Amino acid sequence: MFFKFSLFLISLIFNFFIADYSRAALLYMDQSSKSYGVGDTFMVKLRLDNEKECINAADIKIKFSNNLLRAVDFSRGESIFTLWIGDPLIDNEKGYIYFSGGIPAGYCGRIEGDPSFSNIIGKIVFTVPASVSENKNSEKAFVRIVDNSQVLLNDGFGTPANLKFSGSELNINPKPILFKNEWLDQLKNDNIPPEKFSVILQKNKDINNGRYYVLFSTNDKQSGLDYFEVFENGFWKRVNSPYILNKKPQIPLKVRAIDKAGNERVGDFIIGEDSSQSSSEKFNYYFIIIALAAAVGVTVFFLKTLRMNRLKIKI
Amino acid sequence: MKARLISFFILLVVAFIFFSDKTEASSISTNVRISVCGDAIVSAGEVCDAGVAGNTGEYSTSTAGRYCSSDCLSWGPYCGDGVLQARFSEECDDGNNISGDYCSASCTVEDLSSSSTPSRPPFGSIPSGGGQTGSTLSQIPTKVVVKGKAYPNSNVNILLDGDVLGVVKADTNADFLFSTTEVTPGTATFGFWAEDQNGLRSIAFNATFEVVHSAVTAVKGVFIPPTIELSNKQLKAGELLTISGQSIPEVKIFTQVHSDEETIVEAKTDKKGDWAVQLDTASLEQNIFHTAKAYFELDKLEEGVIQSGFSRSLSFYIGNDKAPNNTSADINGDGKVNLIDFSIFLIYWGTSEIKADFNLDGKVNLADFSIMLFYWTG
Repeated sequence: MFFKFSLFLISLIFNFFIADYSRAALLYMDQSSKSYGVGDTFMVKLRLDNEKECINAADIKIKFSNNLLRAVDFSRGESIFTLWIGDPLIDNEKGYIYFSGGIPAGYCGRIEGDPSFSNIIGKIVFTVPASVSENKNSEKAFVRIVDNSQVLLNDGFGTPANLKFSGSELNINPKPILFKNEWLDQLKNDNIPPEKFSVILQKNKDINNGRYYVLFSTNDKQSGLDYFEVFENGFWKRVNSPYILNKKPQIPLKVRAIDKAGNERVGDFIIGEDSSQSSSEKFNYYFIIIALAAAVGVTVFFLKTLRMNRLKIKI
Repeated sequence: MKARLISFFILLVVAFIFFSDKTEASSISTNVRISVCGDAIVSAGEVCDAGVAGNTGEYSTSTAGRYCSSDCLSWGPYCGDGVLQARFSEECDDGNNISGDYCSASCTVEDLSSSSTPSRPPFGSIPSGGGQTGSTLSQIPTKVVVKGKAYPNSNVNILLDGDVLGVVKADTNADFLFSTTEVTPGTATFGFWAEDQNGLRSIAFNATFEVVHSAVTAVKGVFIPPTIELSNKQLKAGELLTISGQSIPEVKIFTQVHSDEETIVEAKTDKKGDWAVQLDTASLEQNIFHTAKAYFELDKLEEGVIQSGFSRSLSFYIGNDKAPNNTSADINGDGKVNLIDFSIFLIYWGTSEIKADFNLDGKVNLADFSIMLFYWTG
């Protein structure tokens, strides 16, 4: 009896403390302070402690006290994720934030000697709205990760990682404290444009009924990428990748990336090597270039000949 | 009571051994280390580090005042380094800064026959105070240097945040070296994958870290796991399966075959880095998929035993039934899994399109996104 009880107790202890804790990734949050007042704007950083697991994708849902906090932005700056399924969604009415992203070949944790934690997934920018000043006392606000959020292992099978969550609890004061605006400070310090990127023109008969489309992706390591714009019909238009075109575009097609601080970078245009455009269409591009070069050459030759003839006449 | 306590303790020890082995078996093995040249901390692998402003590598008139080089791997030239550097007006250098031994503390020849003769000042313009006068501190760019091992004479692809940054060739010992200044300070993910001499691709290996502004961030210990291939993807029970690939020359390769019970088979690479093992499939369960993956173990005297991470995990089917087809993350079939496939994937997101439903569960969702990221080549 004693033996069985001991065995049960030991297996319980080890299942909790070794098997579970050593294999569970931890999603947690941190911020600069525990207390904020009306008018403050601050960032809550969502971090990942991978606990020996290599992870590569996440689908995160965050719930927050929308009576005390207002989510005003989501920054992808400093994120370990480089690819995102759409833009993060903020719903202040219901008090939710959703996003999905990933990192090719996975994130395997902090490297020995790294001066930073390098484990931020995203930063939520909150402000304490003026409506809070109607409250008499300070109140507790929460920001927590919803249980059905997922982080997947980089194992080639899409296996969900065993996850633990740790949210934030904040004291919200109905009176202003210092009028902090961490977000504005970060934006002011960001004068670096988004990373270099390519704009690739594609056409594939099996996709989008064979219409042309362009694809692009980049990141901004400071304030984070905000949006992309394409230059069409004489003005810039906000778009997402892949951007499907209604007709054959004017080449080169301009696409620019703009970060949260307003810094911008125009991508390098590339005609996709593997697009399924016919060889006759490819030939058309080369033909236009050769024809233009030939026309310039003939014009130069003609002008030179004309000048020589005039000089001869003068002599 | 005492006997019960002793038996409880023994059970505790047994349980610890059992459970700790279980958790270690699938843990990540990483040997990657970072040292930041320019943070004024002498990290492992650095000879010196005097901070960004101090790592000029300039000439110094004394050992005490010597300058660290910009890569923190050596000192700049100095009087007392035992190397005669005439370009810095040294007349001699006996490896010290002691006068009275025919070579003065400032590296000028001493005439000891008349002890009253003061040592002459060196010719040329030796800087006062240790460094070269009038020289401006060299602007140190933000730089990342990576050292690692792949396969002999293989091409190693280096990815920065998922995009191909460059390709370097490993030498005959499988060592490779890559450096770049095309990097913005901040959090960055460097990925590495290689193609061996047989055309097999490795799994991608990632390192995420902070790239420090105006400093050299040195990344060491990037060991790319072995390549792996199977002689057959479907076998009848009892047939021999050959599992082979390439890795660093003359290292141990451990192949794990996952079935009901895990099997580990050991091999050794030859001088070209080739390895192969044969697996008898008689004991494996029939009509299901099994997986095989490998890692290497290298015994380095100074650093102890080093293990790589796991190779790509390959599946094979044992049985007479027809094995179900696995779909590929290379949606457009160009041999690469990159942004083009990702853009097509986004078009199919939320649908049941089979081209992007890699795990064949009827939905294009996060699990398929994860599979695509696993097979990413850039």
